[in-house]
Amino acid sequence: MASSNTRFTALGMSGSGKTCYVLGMYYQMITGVKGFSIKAENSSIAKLEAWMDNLDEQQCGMNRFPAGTALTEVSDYEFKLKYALQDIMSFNWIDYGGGTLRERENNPEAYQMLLESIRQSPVLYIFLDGELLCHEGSESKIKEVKKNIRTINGFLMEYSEHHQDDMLPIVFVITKADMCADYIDDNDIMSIMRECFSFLMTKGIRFYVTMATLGKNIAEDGYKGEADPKMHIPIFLGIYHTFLGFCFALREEIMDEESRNGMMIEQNKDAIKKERNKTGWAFLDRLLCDESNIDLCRRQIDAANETIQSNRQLLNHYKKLMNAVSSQLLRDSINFKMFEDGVEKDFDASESLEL
Amino acid sequence: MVNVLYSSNVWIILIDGTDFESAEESDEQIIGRIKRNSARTLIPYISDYAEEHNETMPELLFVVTKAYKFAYKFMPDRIKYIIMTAFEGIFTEESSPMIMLCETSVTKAAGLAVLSLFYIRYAREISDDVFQLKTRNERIKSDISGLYNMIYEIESHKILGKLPANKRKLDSYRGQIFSLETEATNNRIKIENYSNDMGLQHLGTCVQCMIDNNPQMIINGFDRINYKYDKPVSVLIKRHTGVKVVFGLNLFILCLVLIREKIEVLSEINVLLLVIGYAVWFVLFIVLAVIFDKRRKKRYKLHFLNDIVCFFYTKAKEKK
Repeated sequence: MASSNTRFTALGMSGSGKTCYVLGMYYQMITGVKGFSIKAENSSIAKLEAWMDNLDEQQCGMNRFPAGTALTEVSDYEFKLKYALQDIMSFNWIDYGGGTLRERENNPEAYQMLLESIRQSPVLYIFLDGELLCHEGSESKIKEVKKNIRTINGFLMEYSEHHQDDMLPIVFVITKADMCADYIDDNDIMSIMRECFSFLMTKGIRFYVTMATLGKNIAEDGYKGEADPKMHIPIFLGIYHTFLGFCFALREEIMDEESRNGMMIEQNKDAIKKERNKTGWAFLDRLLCDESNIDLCRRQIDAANETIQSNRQLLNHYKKLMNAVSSQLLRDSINFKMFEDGVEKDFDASESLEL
Repeated sequence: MVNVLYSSNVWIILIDGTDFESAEESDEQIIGRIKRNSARTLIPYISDYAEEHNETMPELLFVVTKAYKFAYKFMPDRIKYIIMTAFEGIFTEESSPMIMLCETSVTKAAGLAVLSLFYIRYAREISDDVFQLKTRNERIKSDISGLYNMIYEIESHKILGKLPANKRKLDSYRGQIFSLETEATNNRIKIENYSNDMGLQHLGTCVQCMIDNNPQMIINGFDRINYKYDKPVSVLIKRHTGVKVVFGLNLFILCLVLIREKIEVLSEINVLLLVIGYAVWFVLFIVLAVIFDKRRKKRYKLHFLNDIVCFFYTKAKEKK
C-alpha cells in the first residue's frame, strides 16, 4: 500500500465547509463509489459515525451539521482508500478551525502545526464558501471571493515557496454547490480564478476547480432536505497525484532491482559455464566439474527470477489500481475543471499512461 | 462477534425487504435508505475482513428478505441496480457478489443460499488442489526429461559411461525417474478422483436444480455456479410449457383408461397395455423435451418412466 504519511491539508475561512467536507466525503465513500471506498481509522470512526447519524436527522435543520472546528483544535483524520476493498493508499486529512489563519499571534501552536501540515501536503485544498457566489453578475462574486481569500492567498504563496521546484497541484473546492449552482457558470469560474488567483495562472502550475454538496436538496425547508453528499472528486484528485507519484517511484525502484537481478543472473550463468569448461578437454571437464557449485548458481538464478516476477506482479497490481483511479476521474471529468500553465485544459490522465 | 465474523470465509448479508416496499419511490431514495440501514454499518466489517485476509473479500451472498412484499413491483434488474449501488464499494467489474431474494418459503431460500456458498467453496478447493497437482506434474515432466538427458549424455560415452562412478549415477537417475513417475501417476489418479467427486456432483446437481427451479429468487451472480448436470425429466416438466401440455395429456388419457375400465385393480393384460401406451406417450414427450431444450444439449435420464413401470408392476404383483 502507498505511504501512510500522506497528508492533505484544507485551507478555508471559517464556515467555508471544511469540517462538513470531511463528514460528507466519509458519508459518501463509506458505502463506496464505483468500487472505491474509504475506511476511517479507529480513533475517528466514532466521531464520524455520530456526525453521520446526526446528518440523517432531517428534523434537526441546521443543527444536523457538525459545529465548526474550535480555534485551538487541529483534527487529524486517518483514512484508507480502497478499490474493491484492496488498499490503494492511506492518508491523513488535517482539519483545523478556519479562524486559525488569522490568529497567528493568539494561537501560535495551532498556527505552526498548520504551516507544517501545508509544507508536507502533496496536494493543497482551498475551500471556497459557495454562499459567497450566490450573487448575480460576475463582479459582485469576484468582490466577495476577494474579500474572503486575502488571508488564504498568503498561505498559498507560502506553499508555492516551499514547492518551487515541483509545484504540486491545488484543488479548489466550491462548497454548498446546491445553493450556488444556479448562480455560477463556467465563465464565472474562469473570471473568478483569473481575478482572485492570478498568481496561479502561470507556467508550471496546475490546479483544479470542483464543487461539492451535502445534498442537492439539503437546504430545503430550513435545511431539512435529504443528505446525499457528492464529494468524492476532490479527494480523488488528491489521491490521483499522490498515488501516481508513488507508482512512478515504485517503478523506478523495481527497475533498479530488476537490473541488479539481471546482472546477478548473467554472473551465475557465466559461473556455470566456467565450472563446466575448466580445461577445455571434455572428459576432464566432466571429472572436475563440481555439481554442487552449479546447483548453487542455479538456485541463485531461480531466486533472482522469482524476485523479478514478484516485483512485476506488484507493479502490475499497482498499475491496475492506478488505472482504476484515473478511469474514475476521467468519467467524472465533466464535473471539474483543470487549469494548467494558465489555461483551461481537458483532464486526460495522460501521466498515468506513462506508467 | 467480530472474531466469529473474521474467521468465516463466507458471509450471508441479509437486506431488509421493507426497504423496498414503495416502488413509487425513486431509486436514489431506496438506495439512500439501504445505505443508511445496512451498507454503512456492514462495509467497514467487510473491509476489516479484507485487511486481515490479504486483501481478499469473504464470499458474499446478499439475501433480500420479505420479497413477497415487493418482488412483484420491482423488475430484477432494478433490484440488482439498487443493491449494487448501495454497496458500490464492493461491486466492481472484477467482483460481483451473488444477490438473491428470500420469499415466503424461507427454508427454500436458506437452502439455496447455504448450498450455493458451500458448493462454491468446495468447488474452489477442489479446483485449487487440481491446479496444484497439475502444476506439480508439469514440473515432474520437465525434471524427468532433464534426467533422461543426463542419462543420454552419460550413455553416449562408450568408455567413460561404463566407469563405476557413472554407473552409480545412472542407477541413481533411473531411481529418481521411477519415483517421479510414480508420483505423477498418483497425482493423475487424484485428479481423476477429483473430477468424479460424488460430493461435488450431488451438491452441484442439487444447487443447480434449485437455481433452475427458482428463477424468481435469483438476481445476480449465480451464473458462476453453472453446474452441468444430467437433468431429470421432472425438471423439464417444470420448465417447459410444451412439455407440461404433453405431460398433462398423458395423465388425462391414463385417467380415461382407468375410468373406462372402472377398475380398482387392473388385470395383468391391462397393465401391459397401459405400460405400452404410456411408453409411446413417453417417447413423444422425451422428443418434445429434447426439442425444447436443444440449446443446452443435455442428456435425460428416464427416472420418471422407471417410476411408472415400477408402480404398475407392484400393483400387478399385489393382485396376484
